[in-house]
Amino acid sequence: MPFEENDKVQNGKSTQHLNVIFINIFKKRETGVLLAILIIGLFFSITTPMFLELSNLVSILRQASIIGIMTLSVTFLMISGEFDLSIGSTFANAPVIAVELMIKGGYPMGVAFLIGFLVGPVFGFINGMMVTKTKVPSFIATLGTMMIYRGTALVISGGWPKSPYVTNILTLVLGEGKLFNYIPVPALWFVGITIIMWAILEKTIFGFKIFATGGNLEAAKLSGIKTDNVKITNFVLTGLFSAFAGLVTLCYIGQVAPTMGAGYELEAIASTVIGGTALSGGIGSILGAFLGSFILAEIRNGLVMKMVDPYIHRGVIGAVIIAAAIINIQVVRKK
Amino acid sequence: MNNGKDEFIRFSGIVKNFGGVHALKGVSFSVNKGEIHGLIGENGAGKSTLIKVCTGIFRPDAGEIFLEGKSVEFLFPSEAEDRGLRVVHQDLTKSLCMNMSVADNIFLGPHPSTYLRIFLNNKYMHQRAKEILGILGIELDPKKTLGEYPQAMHQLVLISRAIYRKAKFIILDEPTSSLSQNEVETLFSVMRKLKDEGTTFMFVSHRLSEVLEICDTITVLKDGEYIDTFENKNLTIDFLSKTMTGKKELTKIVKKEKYFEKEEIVLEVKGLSNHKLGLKNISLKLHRGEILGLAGLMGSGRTEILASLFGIYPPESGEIFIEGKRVKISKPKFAIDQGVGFINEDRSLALFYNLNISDNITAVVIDDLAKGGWINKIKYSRLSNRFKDEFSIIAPSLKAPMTSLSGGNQQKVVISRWLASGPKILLCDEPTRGVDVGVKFDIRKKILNLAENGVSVIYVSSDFDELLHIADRILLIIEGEIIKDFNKSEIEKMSSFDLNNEVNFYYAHKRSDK
Repeated sequence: MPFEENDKVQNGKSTQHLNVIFINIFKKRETGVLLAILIIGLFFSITTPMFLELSNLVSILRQASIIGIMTLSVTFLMISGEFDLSIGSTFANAPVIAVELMIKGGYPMGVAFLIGFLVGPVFGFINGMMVTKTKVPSFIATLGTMMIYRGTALVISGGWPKSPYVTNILTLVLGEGKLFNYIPVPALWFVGITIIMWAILEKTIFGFKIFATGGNLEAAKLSGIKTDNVKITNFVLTGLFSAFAGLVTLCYIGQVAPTMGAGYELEAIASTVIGGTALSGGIGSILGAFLGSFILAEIRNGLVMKMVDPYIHRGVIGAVIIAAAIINIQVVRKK
Repeated sequence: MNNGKDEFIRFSGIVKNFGGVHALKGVSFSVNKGEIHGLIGENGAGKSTLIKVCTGIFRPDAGEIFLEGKSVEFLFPSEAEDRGLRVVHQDLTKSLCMNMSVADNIFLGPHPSTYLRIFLNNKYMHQRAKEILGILGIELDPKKTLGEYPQAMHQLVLISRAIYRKAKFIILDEPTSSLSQNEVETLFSVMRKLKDEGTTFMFVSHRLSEVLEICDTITVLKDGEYIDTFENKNLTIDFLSKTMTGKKELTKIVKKEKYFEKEEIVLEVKGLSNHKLGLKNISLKLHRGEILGLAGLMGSGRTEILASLFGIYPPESGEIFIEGKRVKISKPKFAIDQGVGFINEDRSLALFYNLNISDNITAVVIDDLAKGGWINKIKYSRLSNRFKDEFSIIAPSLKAPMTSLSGGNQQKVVISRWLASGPKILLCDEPTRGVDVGVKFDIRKKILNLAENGVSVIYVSSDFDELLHIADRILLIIEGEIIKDFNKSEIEKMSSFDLNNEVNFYYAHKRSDK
């Protein structure tokens, strides 16, 4: 990680005293998020005992995983300095297209799913090309594609929710299954993908280039890094992961609606910001995004359990996003 | 020591035009291997253009470049880099990623060290970075985030990057403008070490005293033309100045004979302290028409003192009196209302780059130029024109954007802005930093002029020579405390060498006290 902790150097050798290790772990952003998860969980479980029921925890886990998968790719993109507001729309397109192909086109499920899935990286590529070649700020460009892609989903599906449904090995592996009858498959995907993304970001050249591109675009370019390619790749990833998440959701719910995924882009951004990713780029962590994804799912679940008016949910989420952003800035200032 | 007279790079008849502007009019000279070659000239003399031609950013309209005897042409900057030509820009923010570690920055590029071309080999990177830093004698932890180190270290990281890339020829563009004396010494010792190993340097700077200290040979450019190359033997600052501009650097400024201790006290500070800023019990008196110099090293707290007087940082304790009346300055606006002006040490923090020159000049007084919210265009242009002429600001027009001006002219705009507000007390923080000799002269003259007309000035500068020349009294500030007070008669007998000694003496005593 670029934020490597200071080893104590004595006699030219590097030794880490136990207390130094503890203090360093404690100071880390991710620990704070973990604490927040536990505290919030404690709060809700005290006020509504049903919160701690296994089925409820599983539900939180599943919700967090679906958006969480998207959040991981959003983290890469934001570290490199860009935003993608269209992920919610891409999320809807993949299952909508797959279902149309199965119902209207009679395609076999595997093929239909594959085609729906590929739409993700294509949409992402379009976003990437637009942002890097026309220099339109990604916030605006993806605001536009968010609406365009939502339009394609509506048009293709005719506006109606559809239910194609079949259970088979594909749907079990993707979304419907439960390991040991409890752990939902989406969570397994989430954890697995998190590990891979973490490795890419922290241990590979590509991760290095992402931090450089986001940390100082000019310096990265001047040093020979192809920053446009870095950004385009990250957009392709957000598209890809959104499409994947959409198909996973289809498998789990059994039906598809062209309006699904609305608002997910803001939740993904919020989750990664909570996890310590800077809105200005150059700073972020996969572990943080992973943990941050649970906070919003936990809060929403808790609010539902307490039977809080659903219209207030948005307000609470908004407040959480602002609080997280303020904390981020204070931390940066202290350095 | 390698003093081989083989030539490393030769410029032959380099011409570069931009539209109607002749930036380089046939420049020819050569740089030998293993030498530290100084390049000096006023703003607009063609130094940056030459650097850009040398590094492949521009292609010359005419003329040739010879590297070790062979003619070369660079189609892309990367070609120049591949040949071992590297430049360390003045504006370091363009070349470094503050969010990444020191080692990452040294290895910044598409191919840092890897396993299987995919996985970063951090261990090797840290090791190699440590080696390079060790050779250069720089104490930096390669694992630490670059943002945690002060600006002075950043230059050294860039030089390390150049070394890692096996640079043979390193161009340093104004490397010392934000460095303290000690940091400059570190830079110079690094350069000398590398020189011993055969690296050739081009040292581009406005600081003639430093150029004289480190360079073996010095080339002078003027108005895009090559003037001459001198071996650094028995050269003086005056001589170089004159060759560059036709003016002598510091003379021609007539110093007043007046002693100010009897004059009215315009500003009095008693016991100003701020623990967070490191200011300890600052007390001073400023008389009308006096120029009070604050001498010291970078980081000694002088900027913080000025900033506290201007309301940027509220003091934790202490009192401020303006013209005998106690005032509480908690915001810059209150300071301005009391007649205080502040020329910031970093003009990029003062200028509005998205606005034009007139906007920038009138920024502080804009309320006075407006009635009921509407700006009086006549007063507005009259004011901006007045300063443009008085200060000889060189620009195509007052509507031109700030970015079209050279550094020196930008500095003049910042100063004009404060002069326009007609201050009683002017706080100047390094007002002549990063500008060429001609502009330095203009600015100093202006400030002396102001003082003659009754404005009281506090002048912060890291250039001891400048302070000794321009100030009526000098306070030596070290680590947030006023160490010594020099009056006019003492100043007249001192040289910058003496001031340096005072600083060293203080530190020597501190160490022995421990």
